[in-house]
Amino acid sequence: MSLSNGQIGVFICHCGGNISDVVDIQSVKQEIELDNISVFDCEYLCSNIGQDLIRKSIDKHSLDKIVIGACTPVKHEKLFLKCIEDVGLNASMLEIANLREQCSWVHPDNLAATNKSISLLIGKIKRVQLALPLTPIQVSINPNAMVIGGGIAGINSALNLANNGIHTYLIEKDVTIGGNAAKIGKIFSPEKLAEECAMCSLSPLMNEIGTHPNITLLTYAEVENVSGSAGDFKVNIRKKPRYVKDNCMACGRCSEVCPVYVENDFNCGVKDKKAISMRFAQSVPQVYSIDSDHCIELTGGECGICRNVCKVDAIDFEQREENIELDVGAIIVATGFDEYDASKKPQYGYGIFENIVTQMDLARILGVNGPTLGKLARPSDNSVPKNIVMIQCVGSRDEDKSGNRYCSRYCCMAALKHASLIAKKYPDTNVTICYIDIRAFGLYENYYRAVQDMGISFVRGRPAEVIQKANHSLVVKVEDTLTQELKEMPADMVVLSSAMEASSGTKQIANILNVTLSEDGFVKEKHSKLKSVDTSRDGIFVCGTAQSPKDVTDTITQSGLAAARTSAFILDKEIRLDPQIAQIDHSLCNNCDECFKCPFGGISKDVSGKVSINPLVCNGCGYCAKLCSKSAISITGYKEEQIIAEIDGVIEKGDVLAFLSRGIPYATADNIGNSVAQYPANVKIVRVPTTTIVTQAMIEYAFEHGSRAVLMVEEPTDNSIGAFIYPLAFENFKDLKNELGETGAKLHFKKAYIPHYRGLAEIFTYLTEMEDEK
Amino acid sequence: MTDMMADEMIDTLSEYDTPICDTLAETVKKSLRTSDTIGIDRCMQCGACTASCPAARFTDYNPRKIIKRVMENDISVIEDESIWNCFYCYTCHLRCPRNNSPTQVVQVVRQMAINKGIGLDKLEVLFEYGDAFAELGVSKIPDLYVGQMEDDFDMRWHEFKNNLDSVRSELGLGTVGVKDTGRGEIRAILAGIGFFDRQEKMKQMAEAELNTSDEKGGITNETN
Repeated sequence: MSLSNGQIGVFICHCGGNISDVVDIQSVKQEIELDNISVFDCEYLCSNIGQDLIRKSIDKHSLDKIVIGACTPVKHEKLFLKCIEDVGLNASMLEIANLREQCSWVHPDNLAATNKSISLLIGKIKRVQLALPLTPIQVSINPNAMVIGGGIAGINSALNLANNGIHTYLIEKDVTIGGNAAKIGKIFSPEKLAEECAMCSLSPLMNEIGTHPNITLLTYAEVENVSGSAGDFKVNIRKKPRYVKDNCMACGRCSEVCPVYVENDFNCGVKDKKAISMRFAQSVPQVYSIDSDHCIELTGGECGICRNVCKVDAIDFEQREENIELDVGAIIVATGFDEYDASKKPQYGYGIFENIVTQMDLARILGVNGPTLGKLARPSDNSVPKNIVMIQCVGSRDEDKSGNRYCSRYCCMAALKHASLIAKKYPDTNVTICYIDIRAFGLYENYYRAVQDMGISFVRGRPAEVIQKANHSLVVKVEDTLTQELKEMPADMVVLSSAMEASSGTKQIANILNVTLSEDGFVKEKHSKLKSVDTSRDGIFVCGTAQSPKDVTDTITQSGLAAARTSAFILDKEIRLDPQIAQIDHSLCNNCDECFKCPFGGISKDVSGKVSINPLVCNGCGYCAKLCSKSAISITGYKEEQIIAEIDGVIEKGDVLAFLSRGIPYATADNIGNSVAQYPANVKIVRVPTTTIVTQAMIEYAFEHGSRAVLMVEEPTDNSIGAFIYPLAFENFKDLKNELGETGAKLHFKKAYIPHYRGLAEIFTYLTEMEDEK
Repeated sequence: MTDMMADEMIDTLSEYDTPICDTLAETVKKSLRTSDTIGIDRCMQCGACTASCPAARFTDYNPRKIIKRVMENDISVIEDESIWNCFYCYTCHLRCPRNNSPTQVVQVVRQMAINKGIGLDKLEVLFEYGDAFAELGVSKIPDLYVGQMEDDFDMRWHEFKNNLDSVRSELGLGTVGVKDTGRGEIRAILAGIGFFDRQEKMKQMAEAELNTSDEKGGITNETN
């Protein structure tokens, strides 16, 4: 093959000692230098000087294939790709050997690490010799954006996008935007000791949403389905009927005459709302809606009084659900939080005793548009409570199954804020806050000091229980851990600082969008610092309490960032997709249609009846390649002979060969290096899209060349790819084990979890030792 | 079983019960008596255990402080009289937000005390539980406590006790107690795991302790 005669350039990075302190770079260079292989080294290959070296050397030495020995490809692959493409090389002509995370950081022995570096580089050299140019796949990005959730996070990100000139759909499942921020009345702020009116900040933003030329607002609407991929999402929306047309003037005559009272979930479930109503005075859009579960006319009775009084003929009992289809380039998830259900802690009596409320309930009680019009009153008899006890961390910092492990971050400040409001307006009411630690981080400490000065009492201890005595009076049992005194504190009202939980809508939308959640149920960001609003899927971003518990200030900050990231993505106009996806050889295809089982819906028949793979949907997982009995489908860049060439380069007698799927498993192996753990240097890792592409020929080749064991590590089942791939990968493993006969005992299969990197290191070590004993 | 075999058996039990470790917290974590996931290192001294504890309400027992002392490797905790006031209601276990369990910890601490010959005088009443298991296959309330139950609950307690079978049948439950063959099986299991040997050994230790403390008492009186 003429390709193997090409000129190969190998570039080795010192990484400022991270690699070169352990690996003897000069020995490596001597070992791999050949007539057609030129070797270069550099202090920092990722620096401008390093990139210049690559570009200039390609020119000067007419290099046509490049191997880089540096940190993990996860880190700088894109940078180096751009670098070689700048001087006219095809992207497939680059291979990266992981000499840092999977070599120098995990093998402290100089000789072992040097030898492994040589073999990893030789593996990549052999593999790159077989590389064929790939055509990059370019897709133009749809210029519209969609924001899901009309709380303060969604409102702010939609406005930022719209002001950047991007047309934005804002989808809200309730009849108005505003979310939880509309309910809380007053908000605390880091630099002011005074509490600000939440609605005074929120309402102008809400009105701007309603009138902005770049925003299409869809309320009472939910996202049903999302298909496609980054830059080109197709969205199905279900818009529920509100039975009032948009020409409603919000005059309120209908509500006045409506005979039906319903529970008002905006105001702690008090029955002060009519079946035709507006959520609150500042609602956007300013359009009434009818509660179809309680309206007489809509439940089969005869009424229609509202229709009779409406001057603009806006009432429409015939309104039906609408299905709307949208095309958008990027999506922001801003689906907010739910308050923790405090009745899960029966010892605190929420839902059992009337005068036990949550901070959100208290916010409504203190709100001027609340059930008591702002008067502090306890629910049982509307009297002003003399003694109020607040209990912190209800459902937070709690390892019990009924609670959440995390700190909810807002509740210390919410308790201080409410204590301050009460102290100012009701000086005769005593407030005691039972806390474990007061978390008034950063500048909020000033606020904490001010509240202390007001004479609020603090007791350090987590109360055991709340009991009710005669006249609805309550007793809170707590140990003051600072004085070691057991206290039984009388209270007229108890306020529970309930945790902030990922909303049910967040979980629902994560499922529809196929984005990863953290173990706490929030949408997980790609990187907590560098990509703090990117989700596991390209083109989908997250902000606010859908991502983690946070207060209004942090939510607004983060939603601005999400809008900036989304703008940058959309304004790129074109997205380049990973060309390493499935490809079909039609001459081998027998139209058995097995590949249509693609769990991502990426394979269909084109107009001529041929099997066609959609590059927008395909993630190169290899599922179809495994299903294809004719071997007509392969993953570009991962052909059998290419993998075998790499195995040929890396494997020496006695080595353990590990096939790692390129998502979680490969990242977990990198994490061993990041965490300064170790495993023996005779473990050699080969990165694959998923282990479904591993074939009998690859494994037999490894064993024939002295491999002591072969390990396949797959994506975990709770990951978007692993959920589909894992069962098939396990099937593949079992088949291979059978086909191998006796040798099958030396083939192993595991799944990986990023935090459990030690487990993977132990498996690596175990395999090198276990096979020793035989 | 010879005495030596019994001693060996007790040593083996101690290995699982109160394994010798560098710190008290390690012993607690490794002990068979505590859950594998016990969160003793994560205790944040919130006091939910003490606030919930019926023993803390009436005595100077403070489970939060016991945990603190174990965390600080304060070995003198085994000499603290208050550790004998826990009666295993497990409310602290249920309410701890850090998956910790003062009641399990106190069981290990007590056993360490017994191994050192401390607190043997507290055991007398507890031996009745063991004797009841041996004889009936189930636990029973020790005689000493019966009087206290009468003090606390008057005749209501007797009424409950006398009508227990009918109360249970109303609730759709069978009669309490273990049948003869079951008792034999329970006895065999207890013998197999060295329970009787251990109980016997402790009884001897308690008796010896009682005698020596009588003697010491005599001497003290004389010097005074």
